Amino acid sequence: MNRNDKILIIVLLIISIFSLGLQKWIEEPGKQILVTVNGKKYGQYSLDENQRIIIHSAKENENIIVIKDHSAYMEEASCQDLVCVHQRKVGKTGETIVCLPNKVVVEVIGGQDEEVDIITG
Amino acid sequence: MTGRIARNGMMIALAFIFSYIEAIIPFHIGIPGVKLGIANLVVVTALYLLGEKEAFYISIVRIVLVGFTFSNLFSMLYSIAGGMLSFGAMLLGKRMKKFSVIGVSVLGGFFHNVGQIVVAGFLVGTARIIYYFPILAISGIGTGIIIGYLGKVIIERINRSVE
Repeated sequence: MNRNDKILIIVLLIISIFSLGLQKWIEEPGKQILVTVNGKKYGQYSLDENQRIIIHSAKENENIIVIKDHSAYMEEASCQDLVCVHQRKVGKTGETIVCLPNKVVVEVIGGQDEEVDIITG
Repeated sequence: MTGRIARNGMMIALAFIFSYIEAIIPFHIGIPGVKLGIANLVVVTALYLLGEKEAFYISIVRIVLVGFTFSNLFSMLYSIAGGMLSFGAMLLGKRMKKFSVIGVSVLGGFFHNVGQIVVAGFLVGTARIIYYFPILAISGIGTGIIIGYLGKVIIERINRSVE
């Protein structure tokens, strides 16, 4: 490892840690989860009540989201890789669970209706 | 010519097996996309020992083969984006002649994950996926160091035995 390697590693690490810090700084406990399918809004669910949400993203695609103790996780998915099922529970604003094959995104949001945000974003 | 075909075929087979090994190791730490990228070891080594073109072919053929064998078109698209961005970054890094194998491999690991995040963002139609950036970037740097170090050892030893 030469000097330039070390500089490169340090610069890249600083970028990563800085972006991580930025995220920790802006995140706070979320109130709801927003589910989008293929970029379109599917539904909004409160994190305060324990529930089981079944998402039909397409004909045979199905994802089951469970909300328990103010955090949400993917319990089941019809896809093969099941990456989303292995993801951690989410509960803070900005945290997401993504199921790429079914194009399902679960995002934790704050209390207010983020309608405007969805349209612009 | 024949020698080159045999050698490239062997390298592709090696990269393919590495991808397979990686696919069968259950390695879930709760964050999608974090993996060692052992197959990149073959690409890094090829970049130095065989040449830029060869390394490029090996990288692309591996992704297509692995895509058809172990996953689906989706993951393949995803891998191609990561693989190509990673290869481009490594090529630039190598041509700059400022970095050792480790630096080049770190660039590869980092940009592989950046490429995947960008494609995932497009596929699901949300920029929110950027949430995964810090952890994937750090893991890319970490695995890049490991792969780069291994690559360095392999390249030195093969060069010595050839001489």
